[in-house]
Parts: sequence; C-alpha cells; structure tokens
Amino acid sequence: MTFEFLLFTLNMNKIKSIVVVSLGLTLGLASCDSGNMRRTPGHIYAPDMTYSVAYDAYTSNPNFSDSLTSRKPVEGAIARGHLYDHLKEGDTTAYKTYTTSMRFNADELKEGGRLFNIYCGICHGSNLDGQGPLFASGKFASMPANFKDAKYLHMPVGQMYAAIKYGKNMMGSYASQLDVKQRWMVLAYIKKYQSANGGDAFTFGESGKATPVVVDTTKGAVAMADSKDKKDEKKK
Amino acid sequence: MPESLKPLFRICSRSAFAFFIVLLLCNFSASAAPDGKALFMSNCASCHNPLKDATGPALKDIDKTFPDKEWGHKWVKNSQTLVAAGDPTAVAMFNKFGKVVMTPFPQLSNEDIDAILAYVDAYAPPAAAQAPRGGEEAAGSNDNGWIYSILTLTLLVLAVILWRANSSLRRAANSVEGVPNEKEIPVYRSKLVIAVTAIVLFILAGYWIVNGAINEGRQQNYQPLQPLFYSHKVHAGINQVNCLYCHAGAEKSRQAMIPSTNVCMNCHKQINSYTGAESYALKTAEGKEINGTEQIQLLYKYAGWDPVKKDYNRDAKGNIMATPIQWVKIHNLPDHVYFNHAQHVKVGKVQCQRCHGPIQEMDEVYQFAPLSMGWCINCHRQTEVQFGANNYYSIFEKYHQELKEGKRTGVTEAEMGGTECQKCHY
Repeated sequence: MTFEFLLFTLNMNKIKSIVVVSLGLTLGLASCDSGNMRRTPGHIYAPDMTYSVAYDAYTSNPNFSDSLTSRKPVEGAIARGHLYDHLKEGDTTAYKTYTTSMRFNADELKEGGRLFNIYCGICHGSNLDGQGPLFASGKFASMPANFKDAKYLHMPVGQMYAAIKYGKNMMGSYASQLDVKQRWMVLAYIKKYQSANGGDAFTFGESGKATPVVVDTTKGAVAMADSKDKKDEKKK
Repeated sequence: MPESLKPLFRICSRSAFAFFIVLLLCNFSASAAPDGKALFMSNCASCHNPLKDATGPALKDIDKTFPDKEWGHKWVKNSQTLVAAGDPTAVAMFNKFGKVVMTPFPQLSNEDIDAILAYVDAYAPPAAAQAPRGGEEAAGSNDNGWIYSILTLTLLVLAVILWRANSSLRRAANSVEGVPNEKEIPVYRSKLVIAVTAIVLFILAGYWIVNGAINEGRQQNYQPLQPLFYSHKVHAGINQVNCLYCHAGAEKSRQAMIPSTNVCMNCHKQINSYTGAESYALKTAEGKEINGTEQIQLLYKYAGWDPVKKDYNRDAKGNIMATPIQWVKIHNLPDHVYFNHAQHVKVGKVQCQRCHGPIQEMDEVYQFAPLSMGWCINCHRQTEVQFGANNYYSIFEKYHQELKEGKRTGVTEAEMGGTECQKCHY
C-alpha cells in the first residue's frame, strides 16, 4: 500500500524505473515460488541429535557392498513364530497332506477375514469369487481363483498354503506380508466360507471338530463388498 | 372392427405367433449348446485371457493356429501326450511358454472345447470405465486465489486514484473560493506514515524470523523426487489397494515397511502397462507428463523381471537378480524421538490418513503433517482412543470402572501417560 502512495508522488522517470524493478522482482520471486511444494528437506539445527549414530533400518550402511542395513537372515535361521513350517518349495506331494494343528476362535476368524480383504481381496474379491477390483476392472489378463468353484472347493488346505507361501502361476508369494499364523487365519477364513458354500466341513474351529456353520461371520464385509462390486458394474 | 382391417389383423397375429415360435426355438438351441463363457471362466480364465498372454497364450483366434480341430481337442484334454509324441506345433507351443505344463482337462467334451473356442474368438474387450477427473478441479480452485488478489489490487488502485482526485478537486475549489491551501507534505515524509511503516515492518520481520527459526528442521510439504514415479493415487485411490497391502509392517513393527519389489510384482507380473492414461494422466508436481508404462518397465529392471520371457532373471545360484529401489525417505523424525507405527495403527487404531493426509489423492507423496512435538501432543490430548473392545487397554481398570459408572465419556492418550516425556524421548 505504501508503495502505491510513493508511486503517485514521484515523478514519471522514477515511476518508470520503479515499475520495471518491481515487476522484475515480482516475476523473479513468483518463478521461485513453487506453491507449497518443496523438493529439498531443508536444514536442521543439530545433526548429531537428528541422525541416528547407529545404523537404522533403511539407512545406507557403508560396511556392506550393497549398502543395505537390513540384511537377509542367516541361512537356516527360523523367524519367531515360523517354527512349525516345514514345507519345502516344489514338493507338490507334501503340499497336499500339509496342514496345521492351529485352531481359531471367532475373533481370529474375523481377523482372518480382515486380512483376506486386505491382502487377497484385491484379486480374489471380497466375495471369494475371483472378481476382485483388479480383475473386474480388466487390468488382469487371467482370472484369480474363484474359491466357490468346484476346482477350489475341495482343494487340500496345504496346497493353498503353498500357494500363499511360494506363489502359484501369476500369484506371487505372500510370505513377506503374512506370517505363518496370519496365513493359517486367512486359510481358516476361506475354508469356513467354502464350507458354507458347499465345501468340506470346517475343521479349524476352536473345538477342533467339524462344526456346522450357523452364522456367517463375514456377512458385514461381504455385504459391503457386494455394494462395491455393483458400483463397479454400474461404471462399466 | 371394420371389415377392411380384418385381413391385416389376421396377418399380424399369425406373424406374431410365428415370431414367438422362432424365438422359443432359438432359446432352446442356445440352452442346449454348452455355455462357452461359463466353461472358459471356470476352467481356463485362471491361466488364459482372450486378448493378452498370461500364464498361457492369448486365446482369441488361437484355433486358427491349430493344424486341425481334432488337434485342439487333443491338446486341451492332455497337451503332454502331443508333446511327448513330438508333434511340432505342440512342442513349439510348450517351449514358447516356458515349458509350463497346461493342466489336462479330460472331463471336457469336444463340444465344450468348441464352445470355449467360439466364445474366445467372439470376445470383445469391455469398454473402459471412466474415472472422474479430480486433478483439474483442484487446479481450478487454486486459480481462484489469483483472481481475488488481482481484484483486491485493482480496487486499491481505484481507491488511491479517487482519493487523489478528491483532494486535488478540493484544492482547486479552495483556490477558486480564495481559501488558502495547506502546504501538502509528501506521503513519504509524513511522520505518521514512517512510524506506522516502521512498526509494521518490525512486527513482520519478527514474525518471519521466529517462524523461520521454529520451522527450521521441520519438513512439512517435503515432496522429494523419487527414483521411480509411483502414484499413490493410482494404487491406493483408483485401484483400491489397501495401505497395509504394501506397508504390511505398519501393524507389526516400528517401521511401516517400504515394500520390496516382490510385493510390486504380485500385481505387476500381469499389469505391464498403464492403461488409465486417458482417464487419469500422470503428472509430476511440476506438471511434467509421466508415461506410466515406462515406469512399470523401470520397475521390471529393478525387480529383475523379464517381461518377454515372463520370468525372473536368475544368477547361477538361482537367486533372482533384483536390486532394491532407493526410495527417498519423506517423513523424518529426529533420532531423539521414538515413534512406533504398530503402537498407533494396531493398538491405537489410528487411520493412516490421520497423520499422512489424503494419501489416496497424492501422486507423489508429500509430508502432510508438520510432525512437530506440538502436533503430536495435541493429538494425544484431544483424541479419545478406542478404549472398549481393545485388549491392549484392559489393564486400565480404574478408567474402565469410571466408564461403566458413566463418570467419563472417553479416555484420551494423555490420560494414559501419553504426554510423559519418557513416552517418546528416551
């Protein structure tokens, strides 16, 4: 504002030069201004308090040729919670008889459903029918397994476990995302769903015996997914 | 009914009857023939696509490459007998797709196979769904700021001009009427103007210096260039991939985990091109266009995946020849602050967006929150945690009791020691 007053009281020559300078300044500053976007992290006060002295996860490490701080476990090391997983990749006969002694209560089955919707639902669909968003939208060339299909309805659970652990055809390995217990929780959820849709009797319940399916714990999630799928269809 | 219309009516009714009969017949014949689509979906679709190569070849018009119809039936029922017999077409096909054995389908009849082939030959791709264009709207709302500032400036200039015109008119009127004019002091020499300007500048400078000093070391809005253009909007927004799918560690550990390339390849083994360019064009924050398909090819280089061979490149020991992508870390907390993702996501049930902002809307991720101590403490003070049905908080018996008695409506993190210094600084 004061600038405008000044402009008015000065003579023409000065006005000209001032206009030119201020225009230049504004344009120069405007070109520096990138909205709120910044590509550099800026400065810090005390580097020794900001950066960890010890090598932290994801920081580069000069002691290794590949500079990775997170190393692979020593050959033969077994991660916590992975003790009872003896499956070997490629041993397809062992896959078929492989199973677990773990049994799950209602909460854990619900958790299995949640995990399924996060890690599996994107391809296999929250309805377990192979119509996940990535396939339904036409991005996938081949259809993910439809767990309600006769081909998968009676598939041995070990074979499905192997598919999670090592991958199968176009499906990748989920070993890095799901630990052993989580894998079995997901499988228990699938098997429970299948037994309610004409599959074998469900045996991973807490009592360890085949239990008749009374309530479908997945109803809420399925109903939501249903409406979502319908929306997708409408888009088409 | 007039006599003249009777023949016409007769013709109409007869032709309608005939039409229905034909329709019925068509219907019967359709239901009698095997349903190619259903058969394809349940038997073939997990390895084949009509248009694209997947585990097996694209099936549209594949029967034209068969020596004869018989051969196709044999191949589907058991491809290995043909390969073992040394049939040249069969051996070539087998080798082309990495010697992956096709599942034999002895249960399919010749008619079934013909129906499947007829279905894939007639297959046409569904029309692509149009995603809403969010980017342009956002740009439009940004532009409003400019319009307002230009308007304000014009109004100010107008006001000054009017004020000057007014005062010179008054001076002219005064000189006409013989009233002596006061000697005008130029604005820049007026003591009042100088004093006010000095005070305003002093306050502004103080504000600027203090704010700059406080923000030193904070990185809000930091949006580094990454080695690979990965759009969170395309993955988490448009394609609905859950955050935890890639950042599985957010529930399990201190680190949310940056996914290794094998996680990318879970989907990108199949998705080898960016098909959404028409409905949503990728752009950097500077507005530079990005070719999504090129970025996927770049991912293949990192992951050691050969898109032609459809397999990983392996060294002599059989290890996949992948190199990690060196992503630039965006959210940096000083070393003297401890932060744990699992504690917030699993125990506190905090949504990712609470701290990371609208991640599903961001192409390139920027730091949404200031990540200052005041910001942390504020949330710890104000947010009522999910207290009931949460095993992690079962030891706070007094609070549970008070909740039961109706003495309190909720529990904040601060009330459980969330503002103690040692909670984060140790």
